[in-house]
Amino acid sequence: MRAVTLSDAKVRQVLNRNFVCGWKNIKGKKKYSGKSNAHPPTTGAYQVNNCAGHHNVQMFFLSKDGRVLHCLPGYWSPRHFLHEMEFAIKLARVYYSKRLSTSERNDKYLDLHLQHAGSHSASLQRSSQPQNFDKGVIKKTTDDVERTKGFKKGLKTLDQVIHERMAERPFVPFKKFDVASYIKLGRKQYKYKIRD
Amino acid sequence: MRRVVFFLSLMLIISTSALRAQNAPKVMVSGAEVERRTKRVISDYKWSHTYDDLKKRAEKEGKLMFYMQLVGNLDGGL
Repeated sequence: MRAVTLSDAKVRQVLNRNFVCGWKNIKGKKKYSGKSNAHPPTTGAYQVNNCAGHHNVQMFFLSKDGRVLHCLPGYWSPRHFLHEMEFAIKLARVYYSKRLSTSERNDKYLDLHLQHAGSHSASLQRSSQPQNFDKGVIKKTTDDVERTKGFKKGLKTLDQVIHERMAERPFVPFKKFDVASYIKLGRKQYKYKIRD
Repeated sequence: MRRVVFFLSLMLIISTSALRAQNAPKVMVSGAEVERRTKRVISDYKWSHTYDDLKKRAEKEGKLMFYMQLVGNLDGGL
């Protein structure tokens, strides 16, 4: 994330213009935090799919008063991260709209998340395939990631799953956001060799 | 017959090795470059380290909040 996405000039520009930024180390402090290998900043960055490392990184886009607009678990490529960040900014406009009642605002939130998922490009969806070692775990531990009826059966791509899960959580306060169930996208721990 | 079995086994080993190499994740950024970019990320953004501090800044500056939860440190092992 840091060497690719957060280092991207356009990401930096949009983030700094619209957001104040913060991070916190949750290692050992949350039950849902991942336990995979740590990468020192001298280790090379590998190409992975969106949402890889979902238990190690969670990125929240929040309103000024702490309501969750959107959450991206794991790594996201710069192009797709920008796409989702701009969507979060759009959701903020809905949140702060004085023309809408609370229920209208929540309905619009749900619609926008599902419409946004439906508009995702083929490239974004291809880049959001679950990792092979997560597939078996996802099928056993969740009931919203597999399509069993209709023409298109099989595992959904994770970009679709997160938007559907966000749609069920309209403007939830950050401190009440159920991160553990939101990031149920596979294994919490995966050991592998880190190559320089 | 033995030669055929040997030849087929050899082809199988070569093809699975090639497939494994194809499926191995590719390095996007070298370790040295990751180190350089990490330092820039730390300096190019103004980072808060608690949610409450971030919220105060958001209210003061009139901006939204971008808050990351990480297993590790942004400037260290992640």
